[in-house]
Amino acid sequence: MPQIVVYGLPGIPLGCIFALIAVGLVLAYTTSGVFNLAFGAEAYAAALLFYVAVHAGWPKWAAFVVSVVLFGPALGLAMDRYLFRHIRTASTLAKLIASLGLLIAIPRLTEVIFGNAVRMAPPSLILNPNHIYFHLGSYAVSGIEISTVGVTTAALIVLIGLFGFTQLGLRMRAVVESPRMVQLTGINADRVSMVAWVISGAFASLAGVLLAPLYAQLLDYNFTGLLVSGIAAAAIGGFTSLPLAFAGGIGLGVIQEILGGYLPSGSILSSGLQDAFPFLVLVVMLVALPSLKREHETNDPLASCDPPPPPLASTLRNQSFDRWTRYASWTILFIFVLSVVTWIPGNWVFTLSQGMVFSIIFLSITLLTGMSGQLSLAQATFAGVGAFAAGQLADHFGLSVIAGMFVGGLLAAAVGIIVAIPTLRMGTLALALGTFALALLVGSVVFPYSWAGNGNSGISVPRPLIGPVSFQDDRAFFLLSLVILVLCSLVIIMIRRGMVGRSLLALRSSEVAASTIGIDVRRLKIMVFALSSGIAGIGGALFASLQQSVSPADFSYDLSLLFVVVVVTAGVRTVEGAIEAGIGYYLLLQIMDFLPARYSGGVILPILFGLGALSYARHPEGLVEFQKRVWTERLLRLRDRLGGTPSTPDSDLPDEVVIPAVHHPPATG
Amino acid sequence: MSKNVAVSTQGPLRSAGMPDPPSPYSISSTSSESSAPSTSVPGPSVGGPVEKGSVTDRRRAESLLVAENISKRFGGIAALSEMSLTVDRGEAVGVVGPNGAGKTTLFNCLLGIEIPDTGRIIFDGKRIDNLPVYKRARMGIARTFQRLELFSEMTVREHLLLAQRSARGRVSLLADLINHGSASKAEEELADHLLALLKLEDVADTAVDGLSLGHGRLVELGRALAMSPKLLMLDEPSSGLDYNETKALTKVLEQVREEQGVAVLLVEHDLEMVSEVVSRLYVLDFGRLIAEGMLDDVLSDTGVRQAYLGQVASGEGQR
Repeated sequence: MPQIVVYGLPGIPLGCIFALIAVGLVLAYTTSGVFNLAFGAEAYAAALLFYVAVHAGWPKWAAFVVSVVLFGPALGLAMDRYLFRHIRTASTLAKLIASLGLLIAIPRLTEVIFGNAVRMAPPSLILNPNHIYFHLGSYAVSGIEISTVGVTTAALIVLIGLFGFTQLGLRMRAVVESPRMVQLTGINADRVSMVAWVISGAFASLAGVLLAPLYAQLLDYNFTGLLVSGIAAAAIGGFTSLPLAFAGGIGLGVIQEILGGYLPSGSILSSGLQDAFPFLVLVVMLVALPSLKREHETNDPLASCDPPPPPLASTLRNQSFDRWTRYASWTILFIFVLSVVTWIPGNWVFTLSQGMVFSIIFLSITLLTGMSGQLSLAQATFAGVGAFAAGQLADHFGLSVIAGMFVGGLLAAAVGIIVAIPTLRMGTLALALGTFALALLVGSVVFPYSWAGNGNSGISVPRPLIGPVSFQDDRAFFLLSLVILVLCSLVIIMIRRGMVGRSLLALRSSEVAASTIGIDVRRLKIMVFALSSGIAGIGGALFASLQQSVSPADFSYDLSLLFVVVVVTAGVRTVEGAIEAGIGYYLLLQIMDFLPARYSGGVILPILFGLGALSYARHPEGLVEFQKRVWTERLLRLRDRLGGTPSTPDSDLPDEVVIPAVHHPPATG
Repeated sequence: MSKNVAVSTQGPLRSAGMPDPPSPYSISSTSSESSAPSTSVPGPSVGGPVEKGSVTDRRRAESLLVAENISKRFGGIAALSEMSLTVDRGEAVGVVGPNGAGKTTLFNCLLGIEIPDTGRIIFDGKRIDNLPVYKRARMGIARTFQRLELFSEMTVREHLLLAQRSARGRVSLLADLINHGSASKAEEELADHLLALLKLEDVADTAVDGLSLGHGRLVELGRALAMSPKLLMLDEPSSGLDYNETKALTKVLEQVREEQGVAVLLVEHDLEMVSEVVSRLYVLDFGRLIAEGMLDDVLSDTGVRQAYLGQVASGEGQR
């Protein structure tokens, strides 16, 4: 048997799993327009359920019924029924963020329910995973491979049967063609999409259960990572064709294994390029396929009838109220800073600095997502680029960390531009997927090198030294972070108030109209993306200097996802939202440290913020910002009742503003 | 000048019950003149192709906008077939036609939102058919939309200021960081002037989200005018407006033209509004030009009436 076949054969079972993921993604995407990033979380939850059930002594068939036949479809059903059905007309961005919230929350929820024990050697579905059943030529076929291929084939046959030979399948194929057309013929597209979600959920759980034994340990990390391969396979099918997505999955698995066979084993290049392969396929697909350019955006003619977003809390306050809050906030800020440099214990000062450094990184999300409506899933990676650049420059060239911070920011911006140019014009979804893949690629191929992040051991980064002033002390560093945070905030505020900010507002409302008034949409988007990655890079370098030692694990891709949901929940439209998110998150993390590991901040906070992000479609200004508005309104009302001074008209909601009618010509004229 | 009246053979074809032209390439509005003697065209018709050609040459030199042989197909549908159009400086030209005639496609082709399959477009003496939308906008083409495309969360005044700045390509990050891109005195003055002209002072600092459709149209008009355009393209400005609002809009448009001397290309359903604004008219049907000429001549043409109003031709139009 030729060598290439020997290398390629183990790719078939792997490819089967990619194919299952791809088919599940495409099913949900085509019928409901949601690109379900939570697919990896669904798969993990099902695999965990299967693991727990088997270890509780259940027979495997019973565990299979519970996790794949009942749980998976039920989860899919619930996601459609309680979330995605209600945001069908929402923007791609809102749908992506909702699925992202689930991707973050579900694995942590399972941890609360089932505990966070280390789970080694996940059980296989059927057959003994390590037993060699027969030889194909010189290749030994193990139980796990047989079971994976067998079960996938069975699932495929069921799907083909469903699609090809039932009334429901006919309708589903029709919805894939055109949901609106289907509704016009009197078919309930809601029901059809519900069925698609149920099947998608079943495929997710099946993929999860099949995938688990491929790894020594059951970790949610592995499932999210494989998502990119599934996405790449789905991209081969243009996100719409099920057979092509399936074939793409198998092909991807085989080629990945062949690559692994021919590349020198054990090197970063070998393991890295294997990881990178789906990324490269995805990027090529995003750029090359013309059908992908037309985004699956529900062009609901009624979408423009949605009410305008509610005003931000800050716009509600009237003059006297504003003055009062401004004095109060300046006083509080002053007392706060004074306390930090005098009496607050060192570890809390460190936490506060951490919060401020992350606030800087979060500001990059405010700029990109809040102001320009784009979604990047690689902000932690850009932060890492800044951090490692600053550290390496300080180490090799003795460059001051402050200078290194700006070089790091520039480098991050440059990387951002390289990703943005091919993917940005393909739309929100392409940028999100492209950056997600970039995060995985850089994390596994670039950061481990000794000239970058130096693998697990990481690199050390000094504290800055400006002339005679050293920032070695945590309190001094706190002040430095404060200054940089204020500078970055000012930049964002100036942009928001300025013409670039207004151009971005224009862009978000109508790209066509923006370009017809002379705005160079593409250049503007790339500029904002570069600036955003640059700010993330600066924040990352500052983080490295604060920690004094960083490794690639500090900037892993899942952190980027967490960043997005945290900022979105706190308020992605305002600078204060980013700062609240940064300081709030890391303070809460520290405060909740005393709780048992199962309920610690690292578990509970992602759940809270992940679930909070689900409301993005309804409250794009952020849950915290929304609550602030509610409370400001209450306060204003209370004050009116007590003080008797009626609030001025500007504090009313905009729909109550009296707008004079269009000037009519006089009746006599 | 009534030289440029040209009416195609579509009239008799249509009255004979053949709605679909045999080939999109066989008949163009100019060449069809001689081949269709059966059409009795009211009003003067053009002489020969030679004279017509010289007129075109002269036009090309003088006109603000010259579009020649623009064709656009979407799959099997010819949305536009060999459409030619000129707009002189300061002239008001109308494009009318029933729904689906290709009016919006024509607009999109002229602006660069759609790339036409054939033909060329010359604006202000330069070829623009390879330029992206924003560059054409910066050269002086402004438009309004049939379905409002306002920038939500921005006030009316902000629309006017942004349009001035972006039309000159002066939106800069650096300026924002220095003085958050605040408007210059001249920019403020133009904005104030436009607000007064369009009678939008009362809502100048209101976010556009809460505005009525009538106000919205005026804001779009103001945003277009703020670009100090040479050519103003209006896409069905009266749609959704009632009689009085349309009247008011027409009046504003007249004032604007008087004052700024801007050329207008108007796509419109409302023939009354068209006849009040434009002096020359193009009529489209099924993506082809079926008539062009001075307003009154075209409106009284039989073929146009059939295509546009769906009237069955009376004796004169038939053999």
